[in-house]
Amino acid sequence: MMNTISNIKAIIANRIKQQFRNYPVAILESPEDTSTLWVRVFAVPPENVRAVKNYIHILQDQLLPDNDIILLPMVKNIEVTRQHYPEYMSQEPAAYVTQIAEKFLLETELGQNKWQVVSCSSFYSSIYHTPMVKTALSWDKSMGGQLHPVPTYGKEVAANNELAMAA
Amino acid sequence: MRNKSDENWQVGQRCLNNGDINAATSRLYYGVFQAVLTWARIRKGYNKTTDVHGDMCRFVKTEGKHSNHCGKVFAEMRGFRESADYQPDTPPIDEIKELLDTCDKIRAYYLQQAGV
Repeated sequence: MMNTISNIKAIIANRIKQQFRNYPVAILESPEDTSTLWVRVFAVPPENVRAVKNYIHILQDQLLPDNDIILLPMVKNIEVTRQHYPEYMSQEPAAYVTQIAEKFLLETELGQNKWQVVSCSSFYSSIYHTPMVKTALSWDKSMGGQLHPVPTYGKEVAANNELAMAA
Repeated sequence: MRNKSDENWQVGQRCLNNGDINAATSRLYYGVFQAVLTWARIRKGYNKTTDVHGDMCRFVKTEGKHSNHCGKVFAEMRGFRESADYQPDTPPIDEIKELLDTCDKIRAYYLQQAGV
């Protein structure tokens, strides 16, 4: 039975990772019930939580139709993962990074010059002010585990008066 | 057991209204669980004392009308309850509320089928 449980866990984790490439998956046996698995999926944007749960139900029907093993969906959104399961936040999802960057713009003088986030990777956002000027923010996680944008060469751009030129 | 199911469901609703989400999740789940267990003992002669939660999940998945949908909802509710009991995070209140209507129907169905 233990071998079967291990195999089932691996199969389910692989299927979820194939279907949802960006979300970490960790499956545990329930401490209450040897035939129940906690199917934990992390860092899921809130709008995708239902889709991931529904897929776990599909796997139950397809892989375990006799219900000998019960799958319990435990889908954790981005904020819950960040707060309680930081070990599963090795990379910030691009959409969340963009939100942080936009909030940063609103709160700093950059926002007064109508900068906007136009592209984003997993580790930094690129911010453009017209097509002429470009800066980037890197992400400092030393601020108590919270994302903290640290301009990398925005100040140099301002010092060179490129902002004034672009405006 | 009917009284226990009713009590837990009502306490769960009060906890939810008070913002005590972990306690609400636990009580609401047990409100449903005890309804299914009551039916299982009376109608199926169920008398196991281990893996009981898993067995109740199996009954809801396979017995009665709308069992496919009800089985999924009950499994999600059980997942939230085990999260509330064992894991550091609190179940999201909007996701709990999404399940309540069906959970209440499951509870009512099994209590009626049990004849209590």
